[in-house]
Amino acid sequence: MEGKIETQIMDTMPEGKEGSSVKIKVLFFARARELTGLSEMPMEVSSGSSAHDCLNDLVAKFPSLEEIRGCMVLALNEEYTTESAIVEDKDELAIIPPISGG
Amino acid sequence: MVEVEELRPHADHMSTIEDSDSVASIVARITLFNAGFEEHKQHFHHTQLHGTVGRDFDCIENTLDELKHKFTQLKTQLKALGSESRNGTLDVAKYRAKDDLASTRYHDPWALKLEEYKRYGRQLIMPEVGMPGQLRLKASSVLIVGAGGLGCPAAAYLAGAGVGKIGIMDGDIVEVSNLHRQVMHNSAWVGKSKAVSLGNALRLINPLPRYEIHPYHLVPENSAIAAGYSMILDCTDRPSSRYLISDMAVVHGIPLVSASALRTEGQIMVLNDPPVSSDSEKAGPCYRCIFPRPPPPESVQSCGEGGILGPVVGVMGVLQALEAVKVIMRPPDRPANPPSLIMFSAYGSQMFRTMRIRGKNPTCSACSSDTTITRQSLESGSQDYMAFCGALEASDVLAAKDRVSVMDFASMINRSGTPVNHTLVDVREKPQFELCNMLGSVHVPFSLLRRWKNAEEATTALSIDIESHEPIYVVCRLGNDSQATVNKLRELGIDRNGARKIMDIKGGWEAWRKDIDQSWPEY
Ligand SMILES: [Zn+2]
Repeated sequence: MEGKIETQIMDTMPEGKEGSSVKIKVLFFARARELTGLSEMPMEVSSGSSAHDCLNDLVAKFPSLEEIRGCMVLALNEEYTTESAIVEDKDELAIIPPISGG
Repeated sequence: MVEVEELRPHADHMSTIEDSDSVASIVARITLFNAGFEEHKQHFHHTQLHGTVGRDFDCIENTLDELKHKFTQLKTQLKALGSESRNGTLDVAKYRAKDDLASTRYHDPWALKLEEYKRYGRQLIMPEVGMPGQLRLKASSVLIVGAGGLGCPAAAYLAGAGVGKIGIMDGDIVEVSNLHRQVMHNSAWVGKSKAVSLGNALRLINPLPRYEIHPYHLVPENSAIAAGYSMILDCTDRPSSRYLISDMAVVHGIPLVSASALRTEGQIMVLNDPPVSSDSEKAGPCYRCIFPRPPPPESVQSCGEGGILGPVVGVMGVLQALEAVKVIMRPPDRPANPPSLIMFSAYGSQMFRTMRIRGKNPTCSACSSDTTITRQSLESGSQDYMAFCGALEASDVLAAKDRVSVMDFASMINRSGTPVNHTLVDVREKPQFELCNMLGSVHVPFSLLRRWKNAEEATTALSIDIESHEPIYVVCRLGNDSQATVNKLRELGIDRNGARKIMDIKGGWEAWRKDIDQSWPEY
């Protein structure tokens, strides 16, 4: 059902590294939301991971995201970020492809 | 060239009208001035002028407006005088008192016409607007590209607010399927120009602004049109026009308010604010700084394909008007807001989110110092926006032998009644399937089947026997997804290397409606 926030737990923690992970929230907008079928999703990655690492994990889980990888804008905690930014615990990583319609 | 110097003495002369001048002499002089003015205006429109001359021109036109206003007042006075004297009740003392008051300069000339005070009163009394804000609105000129779901509300509010000049550019015609969201058009105007329709509606809202109607599509070759404006609103619906309009804003040095909407979501940004030409240190980013690479064509859907909720695009258009008046009314000494992207999700847990976006990209291909995009290169047509954004290949993905025409499919239906000797797979999304469908068809939305990873998922969803020889026909709305589905089913091995026929119905239900069954709904 559209509008209802579907969430899904995703554990991408490498084994044997417990205790050194961060939990973030990924927000999907526009085409990213259509391709994943999700509005948002909690995600656990090893600490020190970059936005780039998070994206790689996401594309592995949702291969169709590859389609918009080249045109999406990333925002970390509602602020523009680059793929090299390191994500921290409780961060919000937004995936924003352009909307072209009107 | 318009000889502005030549116009000036006339204007100065006209502005020295004294109340003691006879009405007849004022009429004569206004008529004379008017004729000269119209001549120069014609001349002006035939030459492509802008910049300071354009501003002088506006200034002269304002003077003319004020003179006309004064003339009307004098005429009213004269009429009152005449009727009183005819009734034989002329109170000379009373009239003289009024006359004295009128000739006493106890205030400076009003900055606005009386009807403007009245019309804009509710916004004039706000500290955000006031006289300075209203005068800035009046001196501004906004080009609105796209007279659709965004352009309709945006233009309506800008016209209402008293923007001095509004340009409307759109080469499309009004269609009945536009009217659920493009609220300034009406059913009587279906089949006619959107730009003209919107212009007519705006004149009814507020006759005071100047309206320029451009009833044709924006292409690089006619982008010089932006020279006559101090701001652009991007109310279009495709990536190629978004990049073109951004480049126009950059080369002409004017701010851009860019908005978009699809389904239940929208985005809006104020770009090139302040423009690159002003102070490159403080200049705001352009569309290319934010989205340097266009979305791949397969990820782009128009509102016709993906759908749009009317109020969603309405919200975005209204926000566009709001951002535009905020930029226009901003005092020169106040800095622009930091660049941001406002995202609207009608069904999101949070309807509005404001994301801070990056500033100017120092290596941007359009707005950095080493750009190759100039006004000249733009207008010569050497920038290929279609090629830059790419286009989906023409809809013939499959070979002719793998496709069946609606005629041939109809004959199969007629022979066997409902499909019994074959499987008909309808791959439209659920809402579309529920609008209209054929009895006995199997429904699997394309968005679901494109994620299938093995043959079992397919055979289960389609409830087919993998060993069967019954042909599979795939249909969608227009005949694109159906072809992609045929390829997908082959990849999964459902055709057993050609042992089983899998074909798409060419042109989809739209072709079916046109050629076979006119009672099939058009949507
Ligand atoms: Zn730029």
